[in-house]
Amino acid sequence: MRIGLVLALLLAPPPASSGPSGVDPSRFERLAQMWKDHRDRNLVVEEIGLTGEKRGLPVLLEALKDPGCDKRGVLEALGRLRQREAIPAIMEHLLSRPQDCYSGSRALGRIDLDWRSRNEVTHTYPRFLEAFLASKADWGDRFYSLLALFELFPVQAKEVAFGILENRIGESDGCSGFHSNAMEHLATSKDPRAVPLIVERLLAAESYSQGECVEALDQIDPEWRRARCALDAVRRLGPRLTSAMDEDTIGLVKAFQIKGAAPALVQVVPDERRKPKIRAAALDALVSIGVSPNPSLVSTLMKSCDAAAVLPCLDAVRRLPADAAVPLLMEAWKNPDSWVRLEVLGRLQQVDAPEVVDLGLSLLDQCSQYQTGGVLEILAHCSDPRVREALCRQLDRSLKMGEDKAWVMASVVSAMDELDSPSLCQQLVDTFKSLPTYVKPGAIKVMVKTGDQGLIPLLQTELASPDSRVRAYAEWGIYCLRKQAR
Amino acid sequence: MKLKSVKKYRNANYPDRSTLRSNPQLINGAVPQRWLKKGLTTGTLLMLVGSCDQGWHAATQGGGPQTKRDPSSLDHQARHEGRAHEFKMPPLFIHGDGHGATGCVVVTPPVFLSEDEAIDLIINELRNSGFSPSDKPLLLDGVLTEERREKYDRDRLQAGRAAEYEKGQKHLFYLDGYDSNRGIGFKFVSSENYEKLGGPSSDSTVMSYDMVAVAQEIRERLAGEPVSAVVFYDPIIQRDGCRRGECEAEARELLKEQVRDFVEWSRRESAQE
Repeated sequence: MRIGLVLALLLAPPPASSGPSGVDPSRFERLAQMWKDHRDRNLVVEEIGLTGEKRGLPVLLEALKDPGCDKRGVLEALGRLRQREAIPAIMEHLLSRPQDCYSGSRALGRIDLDWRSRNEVTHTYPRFLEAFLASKADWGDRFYSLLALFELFPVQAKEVAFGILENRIGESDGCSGFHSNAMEHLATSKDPRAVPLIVERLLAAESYSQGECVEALDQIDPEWRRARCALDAVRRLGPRLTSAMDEDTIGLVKAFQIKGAAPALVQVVPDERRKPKIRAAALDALVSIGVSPNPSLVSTLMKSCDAAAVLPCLDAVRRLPADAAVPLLMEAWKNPDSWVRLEVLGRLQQVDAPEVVDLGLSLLDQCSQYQTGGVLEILAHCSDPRVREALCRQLDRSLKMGEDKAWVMASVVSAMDELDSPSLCQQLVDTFKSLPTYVKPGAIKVMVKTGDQGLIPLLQTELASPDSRVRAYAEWGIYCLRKQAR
Repeated sequence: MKLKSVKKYRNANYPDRSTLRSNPQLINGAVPQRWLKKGLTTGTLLMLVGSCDQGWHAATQGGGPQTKRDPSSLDHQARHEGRAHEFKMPPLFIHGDGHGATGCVVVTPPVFLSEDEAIDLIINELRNSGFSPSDKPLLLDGVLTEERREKYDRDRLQAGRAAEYEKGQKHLFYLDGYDSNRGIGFKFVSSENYEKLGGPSSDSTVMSYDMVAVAQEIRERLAGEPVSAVVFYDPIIQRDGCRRGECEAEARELLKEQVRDFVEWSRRESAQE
């Protein structure tokens, strides 16, 4: 008996807690065998990553070279293993497949938070640079090589960004179209040396691309307009700041905030020989440099503007006090374009004009389905009983439109959510069964707010809906209602 | 037929290992007297009884941190813990629409939370509420997800018919964290794992995301497994005039709301038990 007990103690397997890891030793053998047998290789890679076991490293390194393996999955698995030995292999892989640079940097970040300063990484920079400069044949390859340079070597690769902005690395090197990327990179790294270069680029830019330059400059230094290079640029602009200035120059006035250009802009706004678009841009620039526009000037321009150009006028109106703005907006309401009227309605609602409900309801009857949502969104902010009635009518009307116009009904339901009215909820409950699938989650959200326990059976029927989104909302709705009851 | 989890169970009628350890004399009545005359036989029997539950024991106590656990045994771990409580599957806690699209149809790009950041946020929020989730993934054996690619069919789209999908690569499923004290884990559905978890992808540059739908599908899938888990999702903010930083802060707040709702749900469930 005693011998048996001693044997039991000696031969019994040790408690798992005393083992090195508690990992089943046969597991890796099984995974390794699956790898050798070419069975479910992507799954093997994932599983090795999830075990976090160093023993999996050789298989993953092999997988990185295997053309049949999902490379991003391998990189993710390598990241989970957190083994520094993997860094050189990852860098080699990114050199040949720069399009994986984001997955690669994520993996490297998991291996070592300070990976960018490691020798294994920094030493590969010349090769990445060489690969970028050499890849002239294919624009796509070159684009990804540039992204990889910026992602993996943000500090060293600034020289490339500067080179592109200074046109040292230029069209002849196949770098056309990379200026925005270079500018963005320097803006993200907040390098003040980039300010003069971007200011020069801004001066040469057409009006539609001035915005990205200003955004980059703001990101580097919000006070960039006081920099010597910016003041110098304004001085150089001087001769162009006349009443004959073009759209690009008007854009620069706005970008550099040149208050001295106000008199010239004031002359452009009423000038009927100029295109309405340019006059509107001048008004917009005036407002942006802090000059309150003359209401009669705005009124004149608004009457002659087309739909696209009237928006800057409406922005200008917003700068005026409410008593001056409302008459102008009412004037703009006469514009036959319903998109313009929708914008006007929004501005009226912003200044709390009492006319907004009447005008909104009239627009609701005339506008297209594409504008209904916008009108309802504005009206939903007005707690007027007529709005509720209109929403009830819209719900009925949209129900008849059919499933393919479900987005119209979704905007009605969204407005109901905003209004929070029990009577509207009741109508939604009554029509719930006939609502399109797309609308039901929003409707459940509105209905649950009532806390009505009688809704539970209705929601329970939706648990069998073929749409998983509807099922999720129904289950959540039931949970919320029961919680409220408790 | 509807599957139901076991709510009550009887204790085993036979003595378990701890009973045998504390009362070794019990074995005297369980085996023939002639066996016990030989010490070797007794020892072998004790060894067999003592080692029969080493499998799950290794998983539940093997080395503390979850990185050291053998994923193959985690299923057993969940089953074991399931003896102590019902496998509960909380609902999705809806905070945020979880809808968004990228590509040429988009005027205002959506703002996504990164998976790592969201998981950190969930773990911190849970820890602040008294949970103790690990930050290591927990593989669920036998659970696979499958990518699916939407077949482009212009006629079908114009006719408004339901989408058809091609099946793609399979992936293992793991929970992003697991609280072994409470026996519940969590999964976060992000734009990064959306396709892996079965969210439909497209052939074109236009890609739409419905996090709620995919999260619900994952939830329902897990309901058949011997594990309790809550699924959170990226709320996705896609709104005109919302600056990136503001949108990210709003998304983080919505995700925190999801976690807080879960904590409240968990407390209610505990109180009921």
